[in-house]
Amino acid sequence: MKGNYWKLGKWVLLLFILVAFPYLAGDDFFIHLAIVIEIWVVLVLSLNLIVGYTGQVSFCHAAFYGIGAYTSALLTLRMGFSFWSALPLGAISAGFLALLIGLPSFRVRGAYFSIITMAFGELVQIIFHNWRGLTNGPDGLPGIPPPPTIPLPILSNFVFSEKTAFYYLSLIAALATVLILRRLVQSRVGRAFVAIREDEGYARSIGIDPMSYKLLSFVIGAMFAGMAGCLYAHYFLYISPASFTIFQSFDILLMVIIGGMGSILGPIFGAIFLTSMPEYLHLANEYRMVIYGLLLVVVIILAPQGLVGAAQSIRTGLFAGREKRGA
Amino acid sequence: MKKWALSFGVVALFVMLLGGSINPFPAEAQSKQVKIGVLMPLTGPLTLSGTLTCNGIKLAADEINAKGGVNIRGEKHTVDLVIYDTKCVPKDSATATERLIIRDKVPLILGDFCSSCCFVDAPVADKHKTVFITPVCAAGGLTKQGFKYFFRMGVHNFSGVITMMELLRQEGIKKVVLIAINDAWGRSYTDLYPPALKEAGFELVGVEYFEHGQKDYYTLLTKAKGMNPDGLLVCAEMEDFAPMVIQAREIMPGKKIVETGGSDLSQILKLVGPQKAEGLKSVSRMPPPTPEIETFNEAYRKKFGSEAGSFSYSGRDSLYLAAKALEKAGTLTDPEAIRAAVSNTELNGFIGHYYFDAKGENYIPLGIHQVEGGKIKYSWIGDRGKMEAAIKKLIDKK
Amino acid sequence: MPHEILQHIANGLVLGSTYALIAIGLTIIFGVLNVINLAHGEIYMIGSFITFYLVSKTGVNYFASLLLAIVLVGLIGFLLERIVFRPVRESPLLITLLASIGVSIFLQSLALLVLGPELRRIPTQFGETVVHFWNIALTVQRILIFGISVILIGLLYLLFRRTTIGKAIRATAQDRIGAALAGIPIDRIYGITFALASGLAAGAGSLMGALYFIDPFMGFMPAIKAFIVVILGGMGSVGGAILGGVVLGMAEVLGAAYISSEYKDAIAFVMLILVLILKPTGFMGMEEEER
Repeated sequence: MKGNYWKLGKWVLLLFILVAFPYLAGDDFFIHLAIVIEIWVVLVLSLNLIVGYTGQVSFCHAAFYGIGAYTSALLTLRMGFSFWSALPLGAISAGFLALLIGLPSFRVRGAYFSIITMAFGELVQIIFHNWRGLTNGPDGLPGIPPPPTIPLPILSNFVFSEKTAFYYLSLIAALATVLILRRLVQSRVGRAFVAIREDEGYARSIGIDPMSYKLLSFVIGAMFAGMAGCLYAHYFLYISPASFTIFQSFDILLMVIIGGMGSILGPIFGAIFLTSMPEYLHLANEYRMVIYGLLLVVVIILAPQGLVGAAQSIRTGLFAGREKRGA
Repeated sequence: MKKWALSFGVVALFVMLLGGSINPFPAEAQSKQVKIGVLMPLTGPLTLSGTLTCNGIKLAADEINAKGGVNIRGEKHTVDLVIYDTKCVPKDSATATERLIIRDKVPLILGDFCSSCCFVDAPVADKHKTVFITPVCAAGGLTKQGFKYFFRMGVHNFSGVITMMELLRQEGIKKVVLIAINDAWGRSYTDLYPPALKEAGFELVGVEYFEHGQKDYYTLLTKAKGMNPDGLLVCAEMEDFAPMVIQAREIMPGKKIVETGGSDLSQILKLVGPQKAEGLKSVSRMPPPTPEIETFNEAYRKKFGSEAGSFSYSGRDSLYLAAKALEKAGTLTDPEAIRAAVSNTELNGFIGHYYFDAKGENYIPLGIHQVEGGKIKYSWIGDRGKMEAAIKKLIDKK
Repeated sequence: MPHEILQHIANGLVLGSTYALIAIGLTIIFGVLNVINLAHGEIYMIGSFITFYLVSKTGVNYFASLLLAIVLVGLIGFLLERIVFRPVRESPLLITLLASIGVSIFLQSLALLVLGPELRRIPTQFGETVVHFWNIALTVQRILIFGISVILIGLLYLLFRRTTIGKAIRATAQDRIGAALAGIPIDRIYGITFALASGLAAGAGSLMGALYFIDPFMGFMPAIKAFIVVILGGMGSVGGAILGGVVLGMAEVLGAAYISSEYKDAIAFVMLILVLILKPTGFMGMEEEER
């Protein structure tokens, strides 16, 4: 009985820290870092759905993130849309791109699939770079407007050019992503994803059509990535093709792996760890990439479940246990 | 049990983040120190150029400190550089900018190298009222966004264009193939050159692109050969120009090649050898050598074990201007005063005579340099007053 | 423009031969070990650096350096297989792929750290003389690249067809379990295959390093192109890798010449996508089992 209270209390504490963070943090820099982490949590969780749960290694995630960013940037910059309507449109455009890429790509499997996503990722980047009439090419899109101020009656207005307001926006986005995806992976759909990851033949034999479920995870993952892209665009206020290269896709994948695939907490940890570590490791700058590479190899060899998975050696979803306890 | 440990781990991580922010790092600023932030790509594909620029800044800092430092209202301050590697990734550059301003509390920032980074950094600097000077970025749009605290010391692309017109005239080149790198810098030239060439009466018979690090230009050069130009007008940085020259000499021996200022011919000469480099002419970001520059080069060689480049001079100039401006402002804590001081500071730097207009733009005209008899020869070309006016006209028109 | 086509074709062949050389290594690693080695580009890069140091710092003759580099890098490849890929051998493909990414990042950053970003070029005398025939201009170096690639491929062919080791490798590629049952030392074969592939890549790197400039990042793009070649030709098929290499080289050159130089890189990717959709097993691949 006490155990339950403690569990609940722990989450309440976490929630409190998250909400009060901007006021607890010593200075704005940490709020900035937290915003970047929150956006990256969305990105990493969305890739984890595709890679960790459905077992499809995709190298084109930056393309979805980029399409979301470009869509919302262009809609707000050139066509006067408001951020709130541009956001879902950005996510939808990413989902649509995922459909376009996924339909041909999922016709092949495993390694072939991964390489074809690499090719598509590069293609999308080449288009960002060269279709100057639309994207302004390598010059990028400066002057993206932040989300419009929300006037609040009691508290001061939510001015999004201020970090605090944006922190809450991305916090809500990150929390929503965690909750929605957690729901998803615990549902029948989520279990179908895992079945496909474990053994596609078996999945088909029990009536799961791999193609449709793979596409589904791809599109959903892309949509969240697109949403993250919109947040990125309206926080940094400038985007260019340089932010959506295959290296970015590798980066996100790295976070998924090192944090731990196939769980919800793992990627969150990966995102936080790999985003904030450089800030604490500034002295070891030149060695940073060497360490990453080494870390990746070591993690893969010794703990294929990632650092988080290694700590917990249960492979089936993190929250499965909670269900039984009726928390 | 394990789950519990895990969630705790996440909370702990957040608390650590928090803890880092509540207990700030040990109080730094000893008195009599001025911290200058530096943002450069020190790893990744642009390492070479970023390192060249950063080293120039470092050496300049040594020089200034050797002479007693920066004099702020009678008190000598040593220059303390706070350098962050941005890898030319915009998100990392923005984070580093925030860190420099909020945590390190620098009154002024020099950097970045890549325009894509400058675009995200400038709004951050503006919001926090911190002067942001880029020694090298060339994207035209940067000074059009209305960033009050952003200043550009990098030589404008337009300067290269105006100088090039003079050079083409001098060389008697009428038909030109334009070969440019497919990035923001190169594209700005493929935007600018066609109308400029047309207006000046030259004939542009083709435009070709290449990617950074492409290495193989045979196809491109073969295509260019087929267009029968009098000369090749190239917009490339050293890493790409060097192999391109070699291959161009193979496919079109003797064809005139002029470059728009992205490459330093002294480095090219070393990389491709005197035979292949002979006859190359380019708009020069490198100034004719003076005793002061030679001293700098010597010191650079001794300190870093490699040769300084025009980027190093740009870096050096930016720190000297920053120091001069800070002395003029007489304060490290009044952002408006610092901004006003920078805006009104002029400097006779290595690259040229710097001064800023209301938008933070400069109009330095360039000279040319060429490889003659295995040696580099620098010269000014044309009427510099007229060229400055032409550059200003081009910039204002855009 | 039509009279330039011969030059373009010559360029395409030279380019294609290097693609083929790198791709062959990749495809045999896949065929025998079932590993997708994303670090292959870095192995290529290390080969070129070793040759560079041998030629420029110790004055060893270019051809000898080339051979030494091949051997040294072969050894490195053998070690890599033992240290990194053997422990994950039984894991799914994804894991080995990711492990190779780790190796790639590690090698690249290590090279940057140790060697620095300056541009270097393997100094040879072969870049100076240009041979002209049929309105084509080619430096001796380029002819050498084509020639040495052909020789190396020829040697490989002899190895596979005539020697015991070669036959053992082919047997392992075809049927790992059967080969093991027949008494072939699988572990050693894996190591040898990796060494062979790495040696070929090092050879390619040493050849290209005299033509282009070398830097720690030079392996990335060639590796991607090599992957495309492997898929075009059929994973595990050496003949396919050769054919695919030539096809890609030609397509890139002709595409850049006659269609557009901006979208040049896109050509390779579009071809890849088309092949994967229409005939996923590649030009010369056969229908194969579960991957």
